Amino acid sequence: MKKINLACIIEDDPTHVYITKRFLNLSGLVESVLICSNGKDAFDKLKSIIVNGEKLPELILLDLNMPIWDGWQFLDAFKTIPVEQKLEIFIVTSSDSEADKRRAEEYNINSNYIVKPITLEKLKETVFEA
Amino acid sequence: MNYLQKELYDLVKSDDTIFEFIQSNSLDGMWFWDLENPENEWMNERFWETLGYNPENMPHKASARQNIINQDDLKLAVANFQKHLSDPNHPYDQVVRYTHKTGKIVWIRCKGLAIRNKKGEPIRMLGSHIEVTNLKEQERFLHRCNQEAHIGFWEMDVTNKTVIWSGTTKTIHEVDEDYEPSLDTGINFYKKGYSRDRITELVLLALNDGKGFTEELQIVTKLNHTKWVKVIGIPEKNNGSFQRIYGTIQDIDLLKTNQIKLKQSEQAFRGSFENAAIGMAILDKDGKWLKVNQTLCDIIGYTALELHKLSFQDITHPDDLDLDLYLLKEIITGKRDHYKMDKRYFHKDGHIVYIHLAVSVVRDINDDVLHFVSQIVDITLIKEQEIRMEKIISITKDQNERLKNFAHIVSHNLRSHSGGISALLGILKSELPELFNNEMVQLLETSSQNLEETISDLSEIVQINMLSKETLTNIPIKPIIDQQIESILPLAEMNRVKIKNNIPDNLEVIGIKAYLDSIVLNFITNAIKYRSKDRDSYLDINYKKNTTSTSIEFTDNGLGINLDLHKNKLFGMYKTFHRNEDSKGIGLFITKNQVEALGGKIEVESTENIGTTFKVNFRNEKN
Repeated sequence: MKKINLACIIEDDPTHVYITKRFLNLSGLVESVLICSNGKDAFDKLKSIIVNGEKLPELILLDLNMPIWDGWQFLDAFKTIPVEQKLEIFIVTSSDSEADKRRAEEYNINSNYIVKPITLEKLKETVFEA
Repeated sequence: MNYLQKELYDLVKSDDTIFEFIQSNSLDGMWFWDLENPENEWMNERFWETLGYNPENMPHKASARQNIINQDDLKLAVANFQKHLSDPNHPYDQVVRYTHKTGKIVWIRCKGLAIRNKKGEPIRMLGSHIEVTNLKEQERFLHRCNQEAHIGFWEMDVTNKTVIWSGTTKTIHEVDEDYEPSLDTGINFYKKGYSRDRITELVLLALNDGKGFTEELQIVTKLNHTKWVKVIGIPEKNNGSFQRIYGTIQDIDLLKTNQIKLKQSEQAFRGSFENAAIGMAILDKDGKWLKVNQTLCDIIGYTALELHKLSFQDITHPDDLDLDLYLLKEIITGKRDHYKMDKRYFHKDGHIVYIHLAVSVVRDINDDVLHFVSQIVDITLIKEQEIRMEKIISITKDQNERLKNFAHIVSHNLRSHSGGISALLGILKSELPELFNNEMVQLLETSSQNLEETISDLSEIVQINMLSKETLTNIPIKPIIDQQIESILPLAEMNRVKIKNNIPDNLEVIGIKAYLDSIVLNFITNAIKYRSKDRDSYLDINYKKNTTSTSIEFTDNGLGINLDLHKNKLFGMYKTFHRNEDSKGIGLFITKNQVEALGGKIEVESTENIGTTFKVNFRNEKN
């Protein structure tokens, strides 16, 4: 099990933010959590981290359906930023459509695809064991 | 005797030059035969010259002449000669064929007179030749022409009560060459009724009033064929009255039959043209209306007179004209002999009339276009309905798309929220387990689980219905069935259900593997779930294939379903028909959706307490 200093939850639904944050804490493997309410908010926050020369989160849990910028828009924008640090992005969504799973393949993150509801077991199996 | 005749007779006796002149100039040959010494015969110079020989080289021998006569004709001549010798009143007169020195045939009319001694015995024979080759050739030519034209001659003589028919006349009547007609039999060949009455009337008019006739009538031949003939009769006056009629008879059966057929066909065409339920028109090469029927006038609002001043180009919608003219040109150049198209005319009052047009061509014997025949069906109503239908389909398609999107969004959002609720309950359960002793909290947990399951089922259905046809492929079905049987074998054995897969290795159906797995598994588990506990159970899996579809058939001897009660609800969501604790009523609903998404359909046959057969029909082609 790997330890994570900073994880980022990009999620518009406060319930899911609460649940996800709670499970991350329960796992005991995450030091701190950055919360972003949509894709645009996340892009801005992560960009400012890079600009300030701070450390980016090692783990990003990304919802797909969100207002302002959805998860795909975030991925499109984020891949334009040169990132030297190693980080892993997991899609956490209530969509189990094949179309979304195939689209995730285009971002090379198809294996990092978790269908909601998130549970501690799913987090342990998918994120921390990966 | 005329004195000049007497004088000439005397001169012949006294002056040799007179006889010399006659024998050398008035005939084409003369011969004088010694019947007492039959080998000796004198032939004059002209005799041999007519036959192409030099008289100086020819001996005065009978055999010299007999050698070059046609042997058939010689037999006739000898027979006549014998008759003439025994009876002076029998004329020696016949036409015979000689072979010219060059090999050609020379026709000679040969007459002879036996000269007898005082006892009346023939001792000499004097003969004359007149060449009739030209006459014979003309006769043969005429005979051939008549044969070719099927024209025969006939003659009837009332005084002598004789009727003469030429060979062609006999051929027309299909009688033998030696047939001898009489006044009665000749008339009786005419068909009873109009033809026989009419020929009788015509013959009487000819004999009484000298009126000639030309008439087309029917005869019935000896071989019982009815045929049309053209008969011409010319009465001949003799001693102040008409006792003889001669004329021709021509076989015009083929011509007349064709004329009748053509007339009937024209009448039929005219009848169909004028009374047709569809518009019909005849147009010239330039598209001008030559003839139109009333239905066409009704369709486009013009009178026939108004249309005759117009061409089809004048009333055709400009957007349809190019194609019409192109197809017409293809007919003119012989690339096609007809075409069909839908197009638009402008009605006289300006509105558009949709028509279905079929154009064919009539050509002359040189294959040049004479005119076009157009058939025009008013399809305005159909077209308007089509347009309305297209609009409805477009709206329905659009609504369907929206519904799919709506279902997708609803299922997605619901899943998100229900996931949240169940996750929160999970956290709550692990942190405050004592709360779950409360009945209401327990019910909340159950409701949450049910909600999640329902949303999961709904999501699956939404996804099935969004399947793209492009993802369908040909898949061997036997291994899929084998695999599903194997996965469920312990359960089947435990419940004593024998499953038999009778599908051949090479049978393929169109589908996607995950759906086929699910469909097959559902029917197998159903057969186990709804087995009859009163007997050993089985499930047989068979197939039927035709040109368009392949049916996989699952036949069990289980509980069966009362189709009278449940047929309409069988494949509905959350419908169950047995008191089986495992039945949720989603399996058949999902299966039906999956089969339909693959372009197939499900049929069911069932009898309660006997068993059920589910037939899953897959299409053999994707589209």
